[in-house]
Formats: sequence, C-alpha cells, structure tokens
Amino acid sequence: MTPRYLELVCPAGTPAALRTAVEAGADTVYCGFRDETNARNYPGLNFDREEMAEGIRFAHAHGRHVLVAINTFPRPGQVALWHRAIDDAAALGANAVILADIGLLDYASGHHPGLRLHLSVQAAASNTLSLAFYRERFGIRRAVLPRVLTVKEIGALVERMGVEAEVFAFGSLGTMTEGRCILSSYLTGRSPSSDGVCAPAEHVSLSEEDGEMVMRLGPLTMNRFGRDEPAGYPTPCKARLVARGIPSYLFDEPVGLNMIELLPELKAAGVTALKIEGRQRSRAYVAQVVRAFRATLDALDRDGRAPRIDLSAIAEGSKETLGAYRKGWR
Amino acid sequence: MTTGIPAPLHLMRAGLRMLPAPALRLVLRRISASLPRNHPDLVRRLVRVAPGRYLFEPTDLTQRFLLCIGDGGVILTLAAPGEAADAAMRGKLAMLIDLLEGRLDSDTALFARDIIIVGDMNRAVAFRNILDGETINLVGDFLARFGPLAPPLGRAAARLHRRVDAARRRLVGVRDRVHRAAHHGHDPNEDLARTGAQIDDLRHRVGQLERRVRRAPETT
Repeated sequence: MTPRYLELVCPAGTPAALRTAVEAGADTVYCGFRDETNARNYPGLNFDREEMAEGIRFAHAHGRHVLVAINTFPRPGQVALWHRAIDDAAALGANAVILADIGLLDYASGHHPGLRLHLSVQAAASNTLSLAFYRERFGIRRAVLPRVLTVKEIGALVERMGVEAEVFAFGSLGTMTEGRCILSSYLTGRSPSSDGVCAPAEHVSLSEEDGEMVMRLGPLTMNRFGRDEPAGYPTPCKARLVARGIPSYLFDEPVGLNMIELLPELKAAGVTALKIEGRQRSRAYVAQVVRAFRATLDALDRDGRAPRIDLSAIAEGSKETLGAYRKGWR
Repeated sequence: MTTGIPAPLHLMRAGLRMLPAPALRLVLRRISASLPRNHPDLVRRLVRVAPGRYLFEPTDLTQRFLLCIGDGGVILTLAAPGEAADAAMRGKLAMLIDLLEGRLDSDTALFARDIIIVGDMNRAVAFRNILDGETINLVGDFLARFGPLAPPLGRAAARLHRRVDAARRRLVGVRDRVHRAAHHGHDPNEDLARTGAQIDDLRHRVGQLERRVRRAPETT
C-alpha cells in the first residue's frame, strides 16, 4: 500500500459495507466474525468465514488491507472460540488481527508468528510501560490508543512507544476505561468487554409518549427526548439521570466524536492511522464518513489545508465533540 | 439525509394514494413473489435470522404495510387496522424507502427524529442489518408492476419533480431576500447559526449555574 498522509481505517459490519468502504476510499477495513469474539456482536451483523474470505479477496484486489477484530475477552472454558477466530483470520489472509486479551496475544504470537498483531483499544494501554510490555512480550506492531489522551499526550507517547499509533477519528464516544466497561451488564447481564454488546438490542425499547421519545434499557428509562430534540443511544453512560429532581447528563451526553479538524496536529504528533468507529452503522454512514475523511486527507496531503466538511447530522445526538483530544476542562 | 424526493418516489406515492386497496394488494403480492427471484440471499437470511412481522407506517400516507417473514418466505401486504406486529417503523414514506433501499443510515434518522422504531428491537436491528447487506430497489419494483406504462409515467413524474424543485428553490430565494430586507442584509443561515451558538452558550451557562447550585451547601 502506498504511504498516505494518514492511513484511513474504516469499519465494515457487513460485506456490503466492506465494499462500500473500499470504494469510498478506505486504506484499510476492519471487521469481525459473526460471534462474540468481536466487540460489535449485534444480530444480523458481521461476517461468516466465507464472507470474510471474499471480503479479504475484494480488498486485496483493490490494494487495501483488512484487519480482523477479535477484541473481546474470552470467558472461562470457552477460549476455543477465540483461538479458532485467530487461526481462521490468519488462514484467510487477514493483514492483521486486533486483539485485547493477554492470553489471546500470547496464543497468536506463539501459533502465528508471521501474523501482524494490533493492540485493540479494549486493552486500554495508554502509557509507555504498558505499551512496552505488549511490544516486547508479544511483538505488537500497532496500538489503538484509548480516547482519553490529548493530542500533546499522544505526541509524547508516540515518541517512546516503539509501535505505530492508531487513534479514533470519528464515531461513538463513551465515558469509560476502555475495555473495562461493564456498566451495561448491571442492567442487562451483557457488556461490550465479554459479549461484544453495550445496551443489547433485546433489552432496548423505544416509545412515543406525549410527543417525547422514551428510550428504555430493560425496565429503566435511559432518556426522554423532547419533541424535535436530537436523540442518542440508550447506553447507560449517556443516560439522562435525575438527581435532586433535576434531569441531566451526569456521566456523558449524547454526542459523537469528530476530530477531522485536528488531522494536521495528529499527523504532526506522529500518528500513523485514523480509525472510524461504526461497524454497527449502515453502509450509508460508511460511505458518507469515509468519503469525507478521504477528501480531507487527500486535500491536506496535496494542499496542506482542507475545507471543513460538516458531519454533525450523522453524529450521535446530531452533535460533535473533540472529546479528550482537546480537553477544555484541564 | 434526504434533500429532495426523487421523481419515481413521487410517482410511487401518487400510486399508493390513488390505487384502490384490491389493486394495491395485487401489486404487493407480485412484489413479494419477485423477491426470492431477485434477492435469493436476502430472503434466505431474513427467514433464518429475522423471522417476524414488521409494520411500516408512512406518516404521509393513510395505508400501513406489513412484511411477514417466516417459513412461507417474505410477504408484503397491506396491514389491517390494529394489525399486530413484532416491530414497527414510523416516518415519512421517503425516509422509509431511503432506509429500506440503503441510502439512509437508520441511526442518523433516529438521532434526527425522522423515524421511530418500536417493538422488538432485537428483530428490528437484525432486519435492518440484513437488509443493509443487499441493494434493493423497492420503488423500481413497484413501478415495474405497471408494465409499459411505467416509463412514460416515470418521465412525467421527473418533469413534475423538476418543476416542484425549481419552485422550492424560488421560494427559498424569496424567503432569503425577504429576510435580508427585514434584517439589514443579514444572511438567514448565518443568523440561524448565530442563534444556535447563542442557545448552546446559554445552555452551557445554565448548566454551570446548575452545577454551582448543586455544589453549594444547603441552608435551611
């Protein structure tokens, strides 16, 4: 693959989304198998083995890469499912696997020494000591950094981490220690870290009551959106909670991450790749976001500047934030 | 986001409004019969992963549509009043068609309050994800049922669409001119953006005040 200004790593929840991402200008596509080995385990989503093989063939034929996310944490006694996923990703010709669990990193590095390993954001590695451990012990080649660092902190880390840095550029943003969020499991019994789902669909219900849209997770009301008020996801961390009689967002509010305006700063900080979040979103979303980032990256590469493309309509709550990349509260 | 209604959709909507129920049922039956032929993988996956009854409620039409997925395949019919379903999707016809044909992201439509989905969310998510893997042309399939009349009707609708679109643009121009005249040459879009920023700022300041009030020691 020809070196780019920044490598654009894009989501694909379905084979159609993979083709859409490639055609829209993704350098690399990441996807997962249709089971709990990946952190987007929603019904009707993801790839069976045949679809993964075809997707990899399609991407390679267009000179693009495919990463397979096997980024959940195996449950005791069921690790064979995760081992099989790593074996199959390697056999199908994936360019890398994205792993979080130490045991799986050990298995992959021992059984598939030629397979490129990327450290998932789920591992929550955000300092040089932690990253050095993964690099020296398992030979990881890239780490996806948690969404808790400023651009300055990322720059300082990149200088010393000894592997490529990938950072989130667009998509969901939650207030959590990445990889250790189990908030959803208190309400539903399932969490992103072990089951690949936050606010599982079977526990979600929506209704219209007096012009409001009411979102519930199990028996609990997560939010009531007023008439014409932009809505968000029914995740516990973004619930509108009532304290002392006042409803407000105590943890985080419905808002999407978009740091398209920080791309030159991230490039200067030494970042290698940008990750677009959203394997659970449709191919229409993939097409729109990937085209916007492709156009911006190409313009930056060519002219050193790029016109601002508005993506707020597709962001959660129809609102965007730079999140921790530019912490205004410090 | 849909910015305008494509011409064939005007025609489809007109057809849906004008056709008597028996004729519409016949058209829907024929569309159902063509699905396994035109989209065999889609039908197979829907039957396997997302069996159920899905109700589509266009808010700009009087009819509602029921999609039954099960051992009998995928069957689209007119819904009877009070018809029960596992999940229901509600929104303008254009939105629902964009969603079903893969041009609109359902989360985006939900954020913008353009659609609402109620009922069994697990089935609805499975249905959406499977549908998103396939390119379908519901409007084309609908219009194709009118045989040799479809192309001239489509052209007539395209002409109508162009006229409606031009009229809409003229109206927007008139609105902008009136606004500038009334507001000393200000651009209405800039005014809107400025007002939005002021509202955001006020929300922020109210939030700060609320936090300060909460932090303040309670006095009795």
